[in-house]
Amino acid sequence: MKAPWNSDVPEFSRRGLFPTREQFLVLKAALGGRDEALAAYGEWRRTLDVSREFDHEVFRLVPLLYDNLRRHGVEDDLTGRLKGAYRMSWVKAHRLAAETKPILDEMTGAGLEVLALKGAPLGLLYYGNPALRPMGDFDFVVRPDEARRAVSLVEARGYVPWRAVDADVLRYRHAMGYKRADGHEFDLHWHVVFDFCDDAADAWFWQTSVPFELLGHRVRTLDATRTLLHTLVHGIRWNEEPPVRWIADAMVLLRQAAGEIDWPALLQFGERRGVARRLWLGLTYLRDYFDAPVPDAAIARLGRRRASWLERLENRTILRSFHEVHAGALGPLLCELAPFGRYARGRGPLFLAAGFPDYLRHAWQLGSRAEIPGYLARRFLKRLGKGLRPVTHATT
Amino acid sequence: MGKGAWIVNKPAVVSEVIDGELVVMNLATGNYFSSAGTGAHLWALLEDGASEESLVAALVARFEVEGATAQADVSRFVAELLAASLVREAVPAETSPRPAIAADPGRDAYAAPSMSVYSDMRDLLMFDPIHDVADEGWPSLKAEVKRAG
Repeated sequence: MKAPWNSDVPEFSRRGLFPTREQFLVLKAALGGRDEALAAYGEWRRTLDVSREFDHEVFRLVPLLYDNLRRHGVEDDLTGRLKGAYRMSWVKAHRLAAETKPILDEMTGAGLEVLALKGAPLGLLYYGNPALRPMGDFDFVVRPDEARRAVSLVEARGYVPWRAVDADVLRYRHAMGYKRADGHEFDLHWHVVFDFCDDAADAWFWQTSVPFELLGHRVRTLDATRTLLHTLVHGIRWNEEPPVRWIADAMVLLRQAAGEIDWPALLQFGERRGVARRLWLGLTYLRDYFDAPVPDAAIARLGRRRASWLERLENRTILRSFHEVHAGALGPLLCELAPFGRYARGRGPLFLAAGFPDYLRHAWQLGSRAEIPGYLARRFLKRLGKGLRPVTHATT
Repeated sequence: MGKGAWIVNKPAVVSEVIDGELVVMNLATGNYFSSAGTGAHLWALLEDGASEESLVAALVARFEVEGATAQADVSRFVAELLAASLVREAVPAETSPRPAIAADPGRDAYAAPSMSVYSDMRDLLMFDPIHDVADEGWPSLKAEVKRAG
């Protein structure tokens, strides 16, 4: 087994982007064949302090870990607890489905075309069992031109968005999280992916979507190619707790449907849409450390791709630590310029320059563009205060 | 219990067998149930609709049990399932005729079918399934966690 946490593989040892040592072992134990799974599980158990709370990402892999160990006939003193975590995941999956069904009934009943995204199709189509792929909520996508109607319908049924869905939100965001008084949540999307908020990208995702039976309805979901792309683009971004579930999702998908992947289409979209570097990182990791069936030619092509200034800027903000990015004086601006650059893509430099203040007003939830200098000044003073605080304490 | 036939109350009731253990949830009430051995065996028959006679015959054929004991246990078990709305009476079209079941010469040891019921699911889902539970795993809680709760 290769050890991607070693410092001699700097690309993959980047903290916050790829699995920690513990996460890597649990992934191997949850996904591997008998010998590999046993070796990884044994190594994890030797270093595991069971009294300590599990890492959140490890915890989310436990149902899959239990299932793989069960299939390989592995039992030890932890098996009962792993089985219990699987039972809990099974209960949660069925409860969530039952709670979500009424709003899906309403949406489809109103004639909205619905595309299910992320956990539900992954759990049912690729894992073959929703309990193996825990999820917190369902993600439903509607066509962009149906967004207002969908928002009205959902809000009329008592769901409250975490931020009012006005024209700004519909223009600049891809989705909104909704919550009902009883605590039930789901995400309503009008664009499929955060990174591609435009009609052409949505058309690309919808055009090969496939029928999908969900909660008694015939909805749609992405085909295998676009599900893989979405999984990688969504997963390859820095997080305080490395988001490693994309590895399990991609591996399960590739094992089930490698033959269905339209690699030329995936690569072409990734290159045109400025995510080639992220795709290269994800696919290389999966091939090198999980023996994923990814064509070498695909990885070589992505590796040769020269990134645009926008892609480089974006990668500086999303592949690095949030703290590192925000430590720079221009960090907050760069973090907003990258997504706006995506939004302004193809509309020319004038639109980019003229539209950015309006985007900042939206992103920072300000009343008008005139408030931007004041907002920046307050942030600067706050940072200055934080920087001075230890000195102040030391002198008093 | 009558001479009718019974069937799992779908779609309100969902179930799965995990390593021989039957787990069942009634989505309408939120209650969770588990059963092993004979209970899981009977449930598999009830998935397709089964009469009380066929359930008794299946127990006698598979386990070391007298017919009268099996009859009494099946009646009680089905009554429990009905009370929890886990099964309902089947209409004739829902039950498939079953061939006569031949007795297995190497029959399994018998334990009366039973269901463990967990009706406080909202609370149980708040516990840590690794650290707050007994060795057999969630939803069985550690004694000290139960006392504290």
